[in-house]
Amino acid sequence: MGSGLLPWVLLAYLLIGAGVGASMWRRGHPAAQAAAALVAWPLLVGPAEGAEGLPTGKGPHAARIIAAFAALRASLAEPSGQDLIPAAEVQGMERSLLAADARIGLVDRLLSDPEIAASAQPLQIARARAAQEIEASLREVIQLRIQIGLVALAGDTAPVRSRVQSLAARVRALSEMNSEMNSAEEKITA
Amino acid sequence: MNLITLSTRLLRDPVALIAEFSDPANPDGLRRLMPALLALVGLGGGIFGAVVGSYRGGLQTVYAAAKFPFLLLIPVLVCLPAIHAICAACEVEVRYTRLALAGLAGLARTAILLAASSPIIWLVYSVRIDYHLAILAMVGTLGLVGLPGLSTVVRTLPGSGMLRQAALAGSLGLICLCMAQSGWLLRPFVARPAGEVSFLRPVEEDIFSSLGATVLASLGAYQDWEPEGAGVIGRTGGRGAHEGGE
Amino acid sequence: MQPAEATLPAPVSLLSVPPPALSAPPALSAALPVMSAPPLGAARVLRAAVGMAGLGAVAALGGHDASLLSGLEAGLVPVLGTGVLTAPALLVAHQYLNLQAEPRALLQDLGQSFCRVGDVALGLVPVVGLFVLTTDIAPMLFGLLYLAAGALGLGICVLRMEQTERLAGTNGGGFMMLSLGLCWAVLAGLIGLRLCVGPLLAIL
Repeated sequence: MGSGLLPWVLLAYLLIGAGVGASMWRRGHPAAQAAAALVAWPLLVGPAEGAEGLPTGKGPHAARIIAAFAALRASLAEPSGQDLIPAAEVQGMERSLLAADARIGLVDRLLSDPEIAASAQPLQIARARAAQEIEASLREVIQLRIQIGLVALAGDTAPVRSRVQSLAARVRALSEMNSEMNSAEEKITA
Repeated sequence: MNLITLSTRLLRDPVALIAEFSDPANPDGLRRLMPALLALVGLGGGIFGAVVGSYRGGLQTVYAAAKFPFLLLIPVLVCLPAIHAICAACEVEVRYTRLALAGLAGLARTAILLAASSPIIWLVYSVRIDYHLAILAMVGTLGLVGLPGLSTVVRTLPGSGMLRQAALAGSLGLICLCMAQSGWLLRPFVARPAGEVSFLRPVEEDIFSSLGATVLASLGAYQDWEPEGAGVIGRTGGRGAHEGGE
Repeated sequence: MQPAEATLPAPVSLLSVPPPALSAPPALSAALPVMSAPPLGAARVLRAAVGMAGLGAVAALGGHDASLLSGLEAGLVPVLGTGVLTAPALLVAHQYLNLQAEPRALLQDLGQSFCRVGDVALGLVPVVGLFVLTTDIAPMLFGLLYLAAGALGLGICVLRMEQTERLAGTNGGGFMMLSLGLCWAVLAGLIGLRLCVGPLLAIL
């Protein structure tokens, strides 16, 4: 190959791979997996998933939210539903609802302490309102699916848009409630 | 999962396989599947490479078999971060591990199909076709069996609409660009029967200047195209030009 | 499908599905739209800036006499300069046309697009790196990829701003915003191209 630099480039690549493989080996991964990392480590060294993925904490409504949005996506994947709502918008609303729900889960864990529960009325009120709003949002999602189905028959997409706006408004209101819960939590902590 | 079961699942329903192993509840899915997928890429690519190298025969068969899996792997390894970022910019939300798994599964699917198409290539090469036709047959087969692999990745990306199309077009463009350059770097695969056998050629010029010279030559405008060492590697390695193959 | 359509009542009655008992949805304010992008933060902005500067620096390594500084300049200056020079014009035109979305929301969209372009630039570093190591066309390729990423960022930004305006709830606001956004994108594109010329020539 006649080049002095190429072996060094390859060596650097393999050294990084060896580092990734060794770290996997130390964490108890089998040797085959660690060896595979030697060659294909760029596949394993991606951006942190937390930044792009869905919220990691779970609340009491998480399963229902995920199921509702999966059903919504299925409706949008039908020929009449395509391009009605940007996938990103659906994803954004799901993420916001899951984040609000995760917050409720956090508050629930806080309220499970009897000492805190006794003096946390504002927090309980905020929690109840947030839960109510999530329930309402889930019902909106069902209505949205019905409207998407009707587009196939009537062809008018305006009601879908207005449902999306209404759902978006609810989701936004939930974000505001999050800050209410935050301040209630802070008061209790103080 | 053994290689035969994995191959069957890759050929029948790769999207279900990707969904199962990239589930957030299964955070080690990519790591667990990676050795087997890499083995399939190595095996399938190696078989096809050996058949391609058999055009020249001898040591070239071994060299081409060793290099071919890397021709498939390098573009994915190099382009994956960019493809992930392009998808995110186009609001096509896909996790990096899912995309990596889809890329690797697509490659493994392509490699299996390449291995399956090897007998056809061997048959064509066995009748001593022209050198340029031999290259064309290799590139054509690669393009043809690359499509099902590509469709695996495309079907993994969520959403619909113009932005998704833009993300796909951008990603495809990048992969093609890198695959063309990787092919140029790892040449020769098909060597002339009387040509010199070499594992790799010197790092010189690039695929586009080579294509340009070929197009000009085919139009009758012959130029004295002397490839020179290019890039940081090529410049430090000095100049070198060999006859042999593509 | 034809006979069914003939017997259908008017679309209005068809679409009047009685909603379940819901509390009234909160009024739509001109707040930020519900988007999929992660929130803007110093870390994201910094990562984007590092991505752009890094891409330029890597491309400069492939140039024959280019310095690292000219590479950093080529990566950062065109996008930052375009943002600084054109964002005020966009905000002024937006307010002048009586559009409803809050300027803060538009700035957020601009910021998101900057971060997205920066992320793409960061992702492109290995690609340009491969070409730097093995070809002499890396600076040219950098120019092309950088322009493509910039064009993509502008396009996404226009779409986001249109969505922001639509969610702010005005009739016809979305179309107005789209038109304004396209005009702005043309201006930003031209200014971006102008700002690209010097730094690009320096590394070519």
